[in-house]
Amino acid sequence: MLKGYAGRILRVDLTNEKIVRQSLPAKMAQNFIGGRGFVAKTLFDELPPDVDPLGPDNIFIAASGPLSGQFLPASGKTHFGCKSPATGGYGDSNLGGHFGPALKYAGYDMMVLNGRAALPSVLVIEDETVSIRPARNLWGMGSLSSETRLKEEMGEDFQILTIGPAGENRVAFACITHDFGRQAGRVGIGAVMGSKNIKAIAVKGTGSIPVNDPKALLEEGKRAYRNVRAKPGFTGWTPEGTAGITDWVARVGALPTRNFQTSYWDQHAKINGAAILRELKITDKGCYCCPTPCGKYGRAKTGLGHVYVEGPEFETISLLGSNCLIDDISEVAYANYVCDELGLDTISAGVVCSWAIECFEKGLLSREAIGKDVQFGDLESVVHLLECIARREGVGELLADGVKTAAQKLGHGSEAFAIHVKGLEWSGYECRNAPGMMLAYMTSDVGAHHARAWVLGHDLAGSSASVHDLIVSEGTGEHLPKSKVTGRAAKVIESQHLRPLFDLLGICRLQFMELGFEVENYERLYEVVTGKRMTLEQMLSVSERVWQLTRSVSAREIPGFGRSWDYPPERLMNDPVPDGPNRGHCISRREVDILLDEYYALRGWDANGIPKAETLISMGLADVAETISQWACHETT
Amino acid sequence: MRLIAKSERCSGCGACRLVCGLTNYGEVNPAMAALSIHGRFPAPGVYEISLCDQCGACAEACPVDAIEAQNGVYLVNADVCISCGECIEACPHGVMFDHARLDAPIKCTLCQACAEICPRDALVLEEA
Amino acid sequence: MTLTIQVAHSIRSVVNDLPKTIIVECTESKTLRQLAVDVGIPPILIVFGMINGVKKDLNDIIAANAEVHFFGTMSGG
Repeated sequence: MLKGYAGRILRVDLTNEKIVRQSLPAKMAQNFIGGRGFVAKTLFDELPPDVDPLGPDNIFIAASGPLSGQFLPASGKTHFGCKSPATGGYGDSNLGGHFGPALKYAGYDMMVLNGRAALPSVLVIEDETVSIRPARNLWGMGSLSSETRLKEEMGEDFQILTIGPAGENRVAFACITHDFGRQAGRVGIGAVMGSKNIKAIAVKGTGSIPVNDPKALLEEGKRAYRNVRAKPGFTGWTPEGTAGITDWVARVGALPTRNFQTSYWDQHAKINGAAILRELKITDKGCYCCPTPCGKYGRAKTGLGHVYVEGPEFETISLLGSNCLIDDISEVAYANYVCDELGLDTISAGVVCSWAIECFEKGLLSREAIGKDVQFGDLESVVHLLECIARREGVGELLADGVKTAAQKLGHGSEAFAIHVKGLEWSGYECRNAPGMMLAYMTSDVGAHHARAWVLGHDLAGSSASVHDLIVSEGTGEHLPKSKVTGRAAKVIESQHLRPLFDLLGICRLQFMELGFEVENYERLYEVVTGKRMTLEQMLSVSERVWQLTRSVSAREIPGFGRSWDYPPERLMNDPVPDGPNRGHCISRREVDILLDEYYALRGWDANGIPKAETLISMGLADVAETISQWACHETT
Repeated sequence: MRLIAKSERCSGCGACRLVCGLTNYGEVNPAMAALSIHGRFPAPGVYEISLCDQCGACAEACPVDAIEAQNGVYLVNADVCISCGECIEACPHGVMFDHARLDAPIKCTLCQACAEICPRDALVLEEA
Repeated sequence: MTLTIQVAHSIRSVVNDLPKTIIVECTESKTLRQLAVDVGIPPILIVFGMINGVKKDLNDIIAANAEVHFFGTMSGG
């Protein structure tokens, strides 16, 4: 019997209303650990050929990991997966809160949904009882409103996922909302849920997770909590959470501003973490078992209304704040609330709105097309666009498929400033002078996202030959030197294995990343719950295997996939940053090619960025190697 | 000693419930916890902790005297308990629980594990 | 004054050969920024500092014995 896991997979065929419970194969746990690993393996093995991401044959997966739901810091993560409506390739999305543990207490490590329910439905899992119930008048309601209603009807012990109108209308950046403010935001996972006519998923579990040594888990868990509590970041980082980096990101010239036209905004102090504490915060709201609650739940008062909202996090501050020139934290929070209720990813929504506003400024979208004049720095403009998008009304029909598709349809050069990679909108760090981070965004498997690799510090350090030069070059408002483009790939690859490791284990990485909770602690915790020894190095090997697998999924799913899908938008290659610490800097096409060539070589991929068969075999992916030549566009230099 | 809830400090993490079940039953299962956390969302956006204050209403309600105080802490004797559920009904804070796999109701034993672990200092021990 | 400086992993992972703890003796008060420069930590890599457990800006001054923490580059969410 597998320890540390619930031991079962729940499969629901929504079309035929068939429910199957399967044992979790031991080999799957050993070779893919859990969470993102299970998602990648299942998508590769089970996606039918040429499947429409918004059709009934796409697969919707929710998976926890062996450390999810366990007595240790921040064990609340759930990892979702699908063929992405945004990119057409591998898609996954991570969620904090309490859902994954609840699914595990109900007896399932993973849930796989196929088909489409005949009517808008709510999937209810209560231990052994699984049912598909009519959603009735929940369909059409906002995410937060729906969760409120379901909690009232079903009881507070249920953990609930909902989509809003955006998911129902299959917006390419629709998200899933949970616990009144946590999201599985990226890749359009909410649209896939909506395309299956699933309005909500409610789980209650009263079972136990079998663990190898409960006494040792109790002691190790207590030790872990004492360790985190003793870290200076426990009191230093927690109060502001992720918003605490806003001023620094501006200081280093990496803050997306005005649709990524520039990377510094002098109004950043109005929308930083201190502003949240001053104007919004009611409660530090945490995920399951987390000692450092980064969620800031509060009340925002604006001219458009007063709302309760969890956030804004840094990403939302970046893309709906500085990127849209909204200089009031309450207004950023309000826009955050609108996204949450409509069920829109705040990152993609911010990028799409800023693109639309720039198009209006340039006369590429008219007042008639949009329905009103829109401008940067105007909350009403943003809210108008969000509502159109969620309902696919007016200009929303153009924007709802994401900035890549919208720009392709609109043309007139608007593709140059559609800020995305592979069709997923860029998240909160501007990188024209951060080549490692640029490479991270270019090669992230789901599209332009920072969750896979984050190396901005190395880029800053890499801007100078020595620490002395780095020290001397820094100053407020001073000009940063151009960062070195070569030698970036190794750090990116290291980060691409380490950060997603937490997605395999089913826990949050912030205790490690932000507070310095030693990553070796997880070896001991893994052993205590599973009874198996896995060194950190072995875990990172699994993470590397998963990386090669997700690349292979995209190579199979996206016709013509390869190097051309790894490029950043024209704006970032052609337009030097006009002002701020990185003024004058840009990354050229030639430099982008240097980054990719170095990266592909280290990855064991060919010149078109396709994994070579021998690389896949060395990663324990012989089954992928066997078939890759049939569907991938190999290219040799 | 008594356990006090400072709900204004609670972040809703639930580590207290998990450590309660793990300490008292040796299982990773928050449904075996003797306290509960209520999220008041979307408004007013706070958490409320319900816990046992050793008031003794459960003991009073028990028809077979299966619940007795030892050093001020009311404890359930599972060998005597007949699983009638009267104590659960009688508890004014709603913190007596039953569980399908347990013969007797779950009740706070004042083991102090929750107060020890709470990273928010939302559960504190005071002299009675 | 005696200053005990704790250097976060997030800085040490980017700048080689920095110890976890640095103890310095200073005869005059200085800013956190200057202190960082003195011990070889590039200020640009510091997201924020803490003096005796209180979050501070790099331009804030230390004037007495203190425990100082420097936090490095962190990603948002």
